Parts: sequence; structure tokens; C-alpha cells
Amino acid sequence: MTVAVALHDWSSLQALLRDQGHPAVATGSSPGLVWIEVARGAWLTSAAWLHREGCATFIDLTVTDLWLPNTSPRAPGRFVVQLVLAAGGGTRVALRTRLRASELALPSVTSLWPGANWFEREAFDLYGLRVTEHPDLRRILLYAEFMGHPLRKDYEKQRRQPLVRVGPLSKLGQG
Amino acid sequence: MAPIKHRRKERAHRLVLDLPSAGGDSLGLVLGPSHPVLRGSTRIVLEVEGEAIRAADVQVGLLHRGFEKEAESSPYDQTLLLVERLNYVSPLLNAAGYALAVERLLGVQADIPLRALRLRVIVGELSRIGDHLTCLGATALSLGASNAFYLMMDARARLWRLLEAAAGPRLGAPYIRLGGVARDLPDDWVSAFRAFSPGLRRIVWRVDRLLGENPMFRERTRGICAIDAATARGWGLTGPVARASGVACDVRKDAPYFAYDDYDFDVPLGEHGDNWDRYAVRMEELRQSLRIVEQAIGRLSPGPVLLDDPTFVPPALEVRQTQVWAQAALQSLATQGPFVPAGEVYSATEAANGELGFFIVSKGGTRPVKCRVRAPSFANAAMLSHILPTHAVSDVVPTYCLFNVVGGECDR
Repeated sequence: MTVAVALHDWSSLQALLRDQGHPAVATGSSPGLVWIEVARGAWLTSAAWLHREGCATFIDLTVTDLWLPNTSPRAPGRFVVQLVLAAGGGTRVALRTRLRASELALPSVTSLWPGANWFEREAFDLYGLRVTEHPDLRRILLYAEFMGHPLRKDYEKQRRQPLVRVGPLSKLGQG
Repeated sequence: MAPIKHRRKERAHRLVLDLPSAGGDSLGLVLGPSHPVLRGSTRIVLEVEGEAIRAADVQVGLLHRGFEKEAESSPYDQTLLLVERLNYVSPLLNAAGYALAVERLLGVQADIPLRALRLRVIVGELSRIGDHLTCLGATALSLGASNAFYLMMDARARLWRLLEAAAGPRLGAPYIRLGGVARDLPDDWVSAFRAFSPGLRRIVWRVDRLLGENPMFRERTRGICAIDAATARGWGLTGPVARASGVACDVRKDAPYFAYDDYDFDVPLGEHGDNWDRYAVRMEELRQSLRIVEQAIGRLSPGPVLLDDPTFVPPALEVRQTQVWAQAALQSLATQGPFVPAGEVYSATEAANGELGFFIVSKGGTRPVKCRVRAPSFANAAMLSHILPTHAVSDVVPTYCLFNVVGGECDR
């Protein structure tokens, strides 16, 4: 299945992104998923376009670390951020962007899908994705004093963490 | 002994000091994680004014075990044991979802024997019934209706005896395998199920009378924490919680797997998306799942239950005893695990709480580069922080119960 089938007018996004100087990098499909890869700068524009085109259901947001040992950890395109949406029925559409470790930051899509809130916090927590304009960016599955981002490939599975004191219970009521 | 006592005292003191205090008439209130309903996995920090909640902060992660990190360094077949610990209330549904994802990555999903698919549906739907019974029973108990809780726990205990007969131990039984299921049903299983199912229907009917016609239960659930369909979509709700809000989403219907399109079943939808609808949708799903199991048993045809492919299924014992290649295949599978070619897959199944998605990336090898779990409970729990404010403190527990946030799946 191509993007054109999943979303009837894919060309309007191409035109929109060309005008902004960030044409879509690639499109394709893998089992269960139709994907569009865009440049980092076109992340929010493309997400808003998908939202307008009927992808109202948020499904998932995650990061993939493609780093291989013995290669530079600063290689371009090391991290792939993927936003998965449901486009009616069983079709799942993914918006992707590739980032290098030094520029692992993206604007938040919580204004379009509020459900992205926790998923972006998780990407920050486990991969160190710095989400800008996020309403409440803090760790979610791990505790605030955790050192590093454990799902990055350069975080060894056996790494130990320092013992920490009992932290504050909540951000609520702290100002 | 003395220093330990002293330290404990200091710690308790610090916890009290850290309680949020927003000033004015509002009060910080911490629910859990040591709470019979939050089950050690969730802490809800509330800011309350009288009985009304002003702000809520749902904190998860206490059960985070690094599933995804572990899966990246484990062979694909061994992860099957770990994946059952995600939603430990219905482990077989997780295992089936993961097995399907790996089979799709291997490109063999169309070759899985039909009998194996039927058996996966049978144990999967029974697991869904068990999950819903636990969720509804806990909800009833949280509202003081302990008789409904005992009825449902009794039904669940009988149901698990059936599942044990078919699949082995409750947790950590590698019944679902890559390529099918481990073994066929025992001879007397179908008759045992036929003896069990009328009893389950009767219990569902009785609970429906006990709770559905109970004015107190209706009062405590109607209009509480209502979510409209657009909000449910934007928050990524799936499964019974989304269907209660009127969102017609069910992976079994939208993108059928395990030959789900062979079965005739309805997807119940709610109208208002309140706690009552969430209760009613799950009650109806109990009946629908039972319908599916009955149809799947009727459609069982003789045949193998495991694919014959030595690249990822260990050859049978009789073959291994006579063929050298089969011994070599087993040794390779046991020491390295199955080889999966380069590729990626997003595979979704309908678990008891919603869309359970696996996003697996392989670069060609015996370990995945990435094994992402899209856990339905995680998205559902995120909604709680948003929906609880303006409601009463006494509504937190039943709402949390009906969202059925399962710690293992939410925190991974």
C-alpha cells in the first residue's frame, strides 16, 4: 500500500513542504505501516497536515537508535523518531524523521494529539529526545535522578545507577 | 537496630514534608502506590478542595523492568517468555501479539496452520474474558459490591483451570510459539468448556442484574469521567475504553488477524464515554468473546498446530532422534535463536485493554535492533490525569479500575 492510497491527496503535503524548503525525504511501506519521512524542520507542519487529513487517532510515538558499535556515535540519521497514527480502519500511518545525536530535539505534537504527552516524555526519558514546547517534560518511567537514557545503544545493559534519596512526590504545588 | 529505626523516622518525616501544598483551601493527597486498587504500580497525587479534585498527577513507572532493552539483547523466541509479563492478567494475548509480529517480520504469517490460529483465538478470547472479569470484579468491589466480585472471581478461577488445561501454567508457559502453539487441546477439553460456558453466561447475567439494576451502582458510574469520541481519539485511547466513548475501533475487525474475519461477533459501542459505558461495554464483550470461542471450537479442523520450519521451529523429537540435520537445527535454535532477515514491522493486535502494537526493527540477525511495545494501558493511564480533575475523590478508584491500567504493560 502506498501513501497515496492511504491518504487520498499526498501531493498537497509535498507541495506544502516544497514551499517551506523541506521536501519530504522518502515514503514507503513496511508490513502494517505506511510511512512518510520528512526533514526535521518539517516535523510539525507534516504532523498538522496528517491531522487535517483524517489521522485523528494517536497511536504511538517512539525513537529507534540505529547506532552500530565501531561506528561514530555522531553519525547522521542515527535516531529515527516515529509518530504512528491511525488513518481510518486498520491503516497505520507513520511520520518519521532522522536525527543525529547532537540535534535530538523536536517540537511537541501535543497541541494536535494531547495523547502524545506521555509518549514524548517517554522518548525523552529513555532516549533523551528533547521535546520543545512540551507542557510537562520530565521523566516518566524512570526517576528524576536517573543518569543517562537507557534505550540508547551506547547505554550498557549492566550499567549501575547511584542510590538516590527519596525525591519529592509531585510537581503539583511546587510553585 | 537503633540507627535503622532512626533513619526510617527521618524518611517518613521527609515524605510528609514533600506533600504538595498549593495554599488556600486545597490539600495535597497521595493515593498509592500501596493501595489495594493501585496495586503498587501507580501513584496518583491529587490536589483536592473538599471532595473535588483540582489537579491530578498520575505517576507510573514503578514497575518498569526494561522490557525493551532486554528484548534487544534476547533471541526472538526467548522474548516470548518475557512478553507474557506485560499484561499479566491476560498473558496469552501478549504472547500471541508478539508471535504474530515476529511471524510477520519473517513473512510466514500466512503459513501458520489454521488449527493453530483457532487455538490462539480460543485461548486469547478466554484470556480476554478473564481480564474483563478481573477488571469488572475489582470495579464492583471498589464500589462496595463484593457479591459481584466473588461471583466474577469464581468464574475467573474456573476459566483459568480451563486455560491451564490447554496452555499449562498461568504465567511463563511458552504455549504460544513462533509458528503456532506448543500442543493441541487435551481430549476432554471441549466437553469441559461446554460444561463451563453456560455457568459463565449465568454469572454474567446475574452480575448484570446485581450491578446494572442497582441504583447505587448506576448513580456512582453514570456521567462520571465522560470522554467524547474526539477526545478519545486525540488521547490515543483504544480498546474498551475508546469503544465506550463511541469510537468504533477494534483491530480484530479493522485489520483481521488469526482469521478473525471467520467469526461473527459484534463490537459494542458506548454513547457517553462515562464509567457506566465502560462497564457496559466490557460486560457485552464478555458475551461476544464467549461467542467467538464457541464459533472457534465449532470450526476446529484436524491438522498440525505448529509450522514445520526448522529455521525457527525446533524439529519434533522423533525427527531429532533419527536425523542429524534436525539435531543441528535444534542446537542452532537453542544457542543462537532464530535468524530474522533485515526488515521492520508494526503489528497490532486487540489485547484486553486495546491496541497492543509491536514495532520490531531487524538488521538481519538473531536479536532485534528495536522491539517497541505500544502498550494500551500506557495511553489509557495518560488520559487519567486529564479526566480526573473536577470529579470527586471517591470517583478516582472506580475510574482507575475501569480504565484497567495494568502496571506490567504500562511500565514495561
